[in-house]
Amino acid sequence: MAALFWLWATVLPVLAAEFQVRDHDRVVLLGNTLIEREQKYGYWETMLTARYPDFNMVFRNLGWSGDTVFGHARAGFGSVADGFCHLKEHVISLQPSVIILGYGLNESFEGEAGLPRFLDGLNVLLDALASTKARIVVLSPLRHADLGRPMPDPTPHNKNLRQYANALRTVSRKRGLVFVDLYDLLGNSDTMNSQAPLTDNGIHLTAFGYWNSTPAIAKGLGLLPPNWHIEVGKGKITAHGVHVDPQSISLPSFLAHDAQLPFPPAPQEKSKSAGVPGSDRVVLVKNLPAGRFALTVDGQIVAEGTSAEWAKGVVIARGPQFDQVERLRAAIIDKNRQYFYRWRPQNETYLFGFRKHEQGVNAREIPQFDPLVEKLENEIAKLRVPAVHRYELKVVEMGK
Amino acid sequence: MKLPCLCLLYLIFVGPLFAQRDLAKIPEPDPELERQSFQVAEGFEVNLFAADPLLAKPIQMNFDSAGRLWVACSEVYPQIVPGQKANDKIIILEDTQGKGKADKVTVFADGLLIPTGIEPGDGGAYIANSTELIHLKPAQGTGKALERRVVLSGFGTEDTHHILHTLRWGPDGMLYFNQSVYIHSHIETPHGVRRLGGGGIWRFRPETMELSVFVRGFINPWGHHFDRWGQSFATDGAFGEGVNYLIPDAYYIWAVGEPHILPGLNPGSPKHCGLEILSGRHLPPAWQGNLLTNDFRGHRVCRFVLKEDGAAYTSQERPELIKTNHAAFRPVDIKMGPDGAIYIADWYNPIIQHGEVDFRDPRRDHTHGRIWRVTAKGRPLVPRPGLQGAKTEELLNALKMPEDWTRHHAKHVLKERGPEILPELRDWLSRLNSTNPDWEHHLLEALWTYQSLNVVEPKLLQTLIHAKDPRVRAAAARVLCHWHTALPDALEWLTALVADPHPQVRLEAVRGLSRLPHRRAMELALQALDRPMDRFLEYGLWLTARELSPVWLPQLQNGQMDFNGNTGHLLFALEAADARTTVGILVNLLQAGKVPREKEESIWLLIARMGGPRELALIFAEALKKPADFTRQTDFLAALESAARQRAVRPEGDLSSLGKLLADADNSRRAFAARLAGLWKMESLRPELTRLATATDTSDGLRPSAMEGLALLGGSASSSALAKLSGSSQPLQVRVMAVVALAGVDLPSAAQQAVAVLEANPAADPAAEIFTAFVQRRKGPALLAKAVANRRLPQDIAKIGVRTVRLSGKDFPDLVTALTKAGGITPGPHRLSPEEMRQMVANVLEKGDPARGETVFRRKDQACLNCHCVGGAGGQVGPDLAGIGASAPIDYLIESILEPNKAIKEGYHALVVGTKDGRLFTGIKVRETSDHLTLRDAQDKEIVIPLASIDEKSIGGSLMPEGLADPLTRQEFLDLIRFLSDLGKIGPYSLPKAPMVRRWLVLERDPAALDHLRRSGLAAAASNHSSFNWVPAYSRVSGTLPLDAVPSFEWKLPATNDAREVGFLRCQLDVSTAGKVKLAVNSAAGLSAWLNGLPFTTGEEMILDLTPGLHTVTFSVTLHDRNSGLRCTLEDVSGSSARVRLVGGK
Repeated sequence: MAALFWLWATVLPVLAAEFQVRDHDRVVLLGNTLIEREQKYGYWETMLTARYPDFNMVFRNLGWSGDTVFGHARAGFGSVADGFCHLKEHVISLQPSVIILGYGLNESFEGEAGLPRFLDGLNVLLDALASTKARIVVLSPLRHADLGRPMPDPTPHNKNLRQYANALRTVSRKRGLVFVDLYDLLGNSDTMNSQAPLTDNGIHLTAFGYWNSTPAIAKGLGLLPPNWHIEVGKGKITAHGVHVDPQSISLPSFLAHDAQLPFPPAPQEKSKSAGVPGSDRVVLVKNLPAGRFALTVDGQIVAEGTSAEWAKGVVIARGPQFDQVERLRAAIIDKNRQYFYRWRPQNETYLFGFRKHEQGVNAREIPQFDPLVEKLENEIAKLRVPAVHRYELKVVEMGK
Repeated sequence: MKLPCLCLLYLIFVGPLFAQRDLAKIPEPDPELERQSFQVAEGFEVNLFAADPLLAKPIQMNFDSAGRLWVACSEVYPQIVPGQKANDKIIILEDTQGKGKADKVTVFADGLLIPTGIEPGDGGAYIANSTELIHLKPAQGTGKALERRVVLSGFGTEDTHHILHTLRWGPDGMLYFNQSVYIHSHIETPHGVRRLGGGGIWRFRPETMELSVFVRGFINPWGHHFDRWGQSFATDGAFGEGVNYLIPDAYYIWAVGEPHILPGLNPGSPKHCGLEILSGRHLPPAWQGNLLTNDFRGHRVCRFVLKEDGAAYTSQERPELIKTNHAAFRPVDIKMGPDGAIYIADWYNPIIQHGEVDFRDPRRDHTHGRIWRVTAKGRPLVPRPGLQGAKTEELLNALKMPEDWTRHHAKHVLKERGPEILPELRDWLSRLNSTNPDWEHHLLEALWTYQSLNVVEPKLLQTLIHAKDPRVRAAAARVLCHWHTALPDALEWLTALVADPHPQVRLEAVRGLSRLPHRRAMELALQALDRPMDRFLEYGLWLTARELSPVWLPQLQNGQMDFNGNTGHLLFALEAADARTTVGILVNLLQAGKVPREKEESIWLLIARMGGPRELALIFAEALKKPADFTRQTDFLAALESAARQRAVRPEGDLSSLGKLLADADNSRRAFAARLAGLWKMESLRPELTRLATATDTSDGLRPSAMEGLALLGGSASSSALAKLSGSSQPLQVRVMAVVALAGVDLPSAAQQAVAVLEANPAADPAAEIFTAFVQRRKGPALLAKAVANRRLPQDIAKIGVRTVRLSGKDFPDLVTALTKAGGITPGPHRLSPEEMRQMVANVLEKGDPARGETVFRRKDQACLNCHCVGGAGGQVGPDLAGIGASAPIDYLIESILEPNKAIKEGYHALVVGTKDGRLFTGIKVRETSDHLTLRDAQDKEIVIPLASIDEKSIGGSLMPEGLADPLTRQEFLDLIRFLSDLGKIGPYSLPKAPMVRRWLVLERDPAALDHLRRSGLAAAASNHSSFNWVPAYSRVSGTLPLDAVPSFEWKLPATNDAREVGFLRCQLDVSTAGKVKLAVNSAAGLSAWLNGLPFTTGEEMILDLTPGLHTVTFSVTLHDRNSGLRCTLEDVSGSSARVRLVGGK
């Protein structure tokens, strides 16, 4: 946990440009596997969604494994130039106001010799995207983690990755784009040895890796860690990040309304203990008599501690809000899945390609995914809004 | 009580007649009824291992080391419905009682989207799940998957029967998996991005994440398996050449960008799915090592027998293990089980695939599925090996078992136990009995165990590359190539292997050397040429020379190496490299007289293909030399012509001697000269070209070339001369030629003239030539449409025009409308209403006669065989029809003829290519190299188009013209459809398995030929005389060539002067390994025979002793003496090593 705080504190360099999220933003995530797999875990998107419960934002993930700034993975039956054309047309058709770009890993295998070509490709891509007038956020590639032999020694590759990341930074600065340096995210030996590794192949994030990298993304976007705490004093409650209804206070019970949902719990059973990076929710209760006390939220026990522990502050990591944010994340994942079926359907050859004269009639089904996406977005809009919950401190055992 | 029996009979005998798509005749899903419909090979029986509701829609299955059967099932296939939850499953079937029946089923995973592959391992299972290869691990206790890891992502999904499939562990501990032709995959690994567009087989080591492409190509390869010696084979569900032998890194059918591909071992065999190699004590000795695969279209489980043939194998199909007419039996996967029995996954569906039938067709089955188990009657089963909890020593001893299943899984468990087993492995090795006949195989299993554990073991490897058994040496050579970076002696060992007495070992060494980026590796590989070569070795060496060319070519050019002055080696390498930079070296070799005579011409032609003006001048000089060899000179002139057309290069220096050639005595040479004069822009020859184009005594063969030469020269002089020649004062024949030529120089004027010529009602072929001249030029169709507007054309001429447009693969609606109007023809293709279709299908079954239908099919004017083949004999433009009836429903067959563009088989879409000079080409893509695209057009001719000249490419429709049924009576049409629908079904129209001559060459009746025969005698027919025109003729499905397919010559017997009708026919045998073979004929009456021109005694059985190469057997048939056609079968001679293939094709 200490390491995670450390991440918040030191890893991320100062921003090159200011980033601001706005209501009605249409966010397109574009890139290689780094972007593509995010849609299946949804941690980045859940963080951004939950943070602005009043904003109607739309997220479209266009990540594609093996993709490059040249559009390699989108070529289909055509040339790489066709792939780039598809990329451009798709992004433009979505009318994005924000584009989050995740490229560089695949290009970096070309080494120093490939760098000029990469820069050219990057600039061509950024020029093409400029017509959308979207605010562009550029993510650096991750560091290639050393998983020991027989997996490859990443030292030479990391030299290249660093260069490509620097190139992305330079171009971003020049163009006044937001640049988020993720390069060092996986570089920490503590995280590598943890029970739930950030990567299982050295170059891609696991579910835990996406969860764990979310604060870095938030910080990269200039979003400060949400400060949430409640301090129950003598007949008086002070709160940050959560509104306690003064009318409702009838100690030891009160009603509180979060400003935003908490960050989701860690993805795997064995990593649950890892805590919530940089966004711990703490409840502090002073002047309790000796004994053990449990805090319930809507009747569900969410934390327990001695009066001394409550006086120092107890971290809340479960409860109805956490269940709600998981429901939100599930809806986001489902929305992404339905959108994936929409833009990258199986059997494209028959639906839209050169065999459409045979089964092209079935292409009529594909737009039927649109209402499904919309329905899930309505659900997301409901789920991202925090509810009012009743908090109550209960005696577990009185001290002697 | 009688009623149920009757129903049953109805289902068995009548039901299957109605094929898969014949509307509402869905078979009863009772597994027992299905089982009873099976015709099973003698000595075998089938029982039901598992069926719905235990499982539905099985796709791939594999056993784990505990003997449990894992099955990937998809009910979502072929396409998820909006709002549907993807909930496909991996299930585990267990036979806990050992009764040959699954009694326990576990749903291991659900929530999957069309999982097309499953392979247990690494504590869970690998699953192909749409865009991803995932690994799932079970939660302890429940057996249900909990931990999910994305192993690789980025697999394409352009077609759900092509997506990632056929997962299989190799003996080397690597995971192999396949993808098919429409798929484009882009996979990120810690070693870099791996991309594969098109079909191929991947090879993956999970512990290191190393991923590479093992072989490239194939259309839909759903079968891949390794034999006891580590050699592997593949089958393809959309490519009709049966079993394919896999050479590492080789290219197979449809490999994009490669000039040479390896063919399959059974040309003309239908498509197959799944592949298993039989072994073990339960099965009879004759079945050991046999290959089993499935023809799911034809409801068959097929058997192939391999024989060693030089560096590779021959494969022979034998009668099926199972066949049935049950419309829903769809065997898709086949595996041997832990008990020594054979297991078959039956997708069970009356509807297959999805190109032909709507995704949402209600007759698609989504709920059934079966696993069948085949056992040998009266033979004991193999005791199930208990590997999971076995001691390491026991696992090691299991590596000696005769069952491939047991050895494979023992090795797998050893690998999963990790390096801790190494001391015991070493100890076990030291205790092996070297006098055991299988000792070397035990050592090989140990070597693979090391390889599986990724541990290099040089000592054991060294022992095995010196093994007595060449199969062991070959396997060791492959391991060596994977380990070479860790072996200081690798090159030295390969030196021995490349000179090995056995060709397969040499092939492995040659391929392995391609991994050593060192010029010495190239020199070594070429030493294979010093020993006997065969086509597989040549292919392997070609690949190696090509792959290593970035290493050796620059060094050769810098003079740092010269292949030790060995011209044979150098030439092979240079031909393989096929690089423009080598032209200078080739010319020097030729000029220094270092090229052997027999190679000289091919090297000149190689230079012509790549050379610049200087080299072309040398070719031109060669072409003008006194013609010692007519073909050689023609080849050179053709090479000069294509250099000018495709690369716009002409010889440097003085070209005036072309004038002499234009006055040559031979018209074909003059024709070349005329076209070259135009291509080379030789104004000085314009007067002579004009004279030849105009003169009344110019031959019909020369005149079009003179006109084309003029058109190529260009300018207004050319266009006015040609316009004049197309005027009404000229003979019609001349006008047609002139219009065609004029289109090349002045398209608007040509369009005006064309209409006038077409109004004069030329014959069909010339009219088609005119239309072709326009549809092959981009602006042509629009101009012709404009010119035709408000004119009247003879109806047949207009029909030919519409047909020509269809053949172009483009729509050109304006031109079609104009022609339809001008000819007063009823527009559009025939489209039957659902009611008419039902009626037609019923009539086909009631009134269609397949025997009459075969006659219609074979009729010359029907031209079916011009484009289609049956069992490999016939045209190559369209799909082989040998199994069409078993796979395609009747309504589909009817539609395919009436509306050829409605559904088109994979690989048979025409490609329409527009070139920068405004021309359009249409054809099926044959291959594409870095320089050229080759198409096969509707006339079965190959068109080569330089990539640099291509402006745009698009995918068009079918090359099959509409209106083919127009000349048929309704009865003939019903007969034809009935014949097609019986093709491949059990009965007289299923192709016999014995190899028979299916493609014959018959001598065309011709006065000049008869004259030559009369003067020189009958035996002259066995020679090649310029007056002979041999044309293909094809046997009936039964294998017999009817006598009416043989043109007859009136022949006077020398003694009596009696007249006899005699015909001449030939077949060709391609011999890869020398030896004796037997040709058996149904009757020798009236036959005389010659082998390569030399007579031999005829009889019902004729033994021929053949050397490697192509051999021609010529027969003369006195028709009067025979009352039956000729059926000629190729049979083995016992003890003979001969490996022979009958030449098929067109």
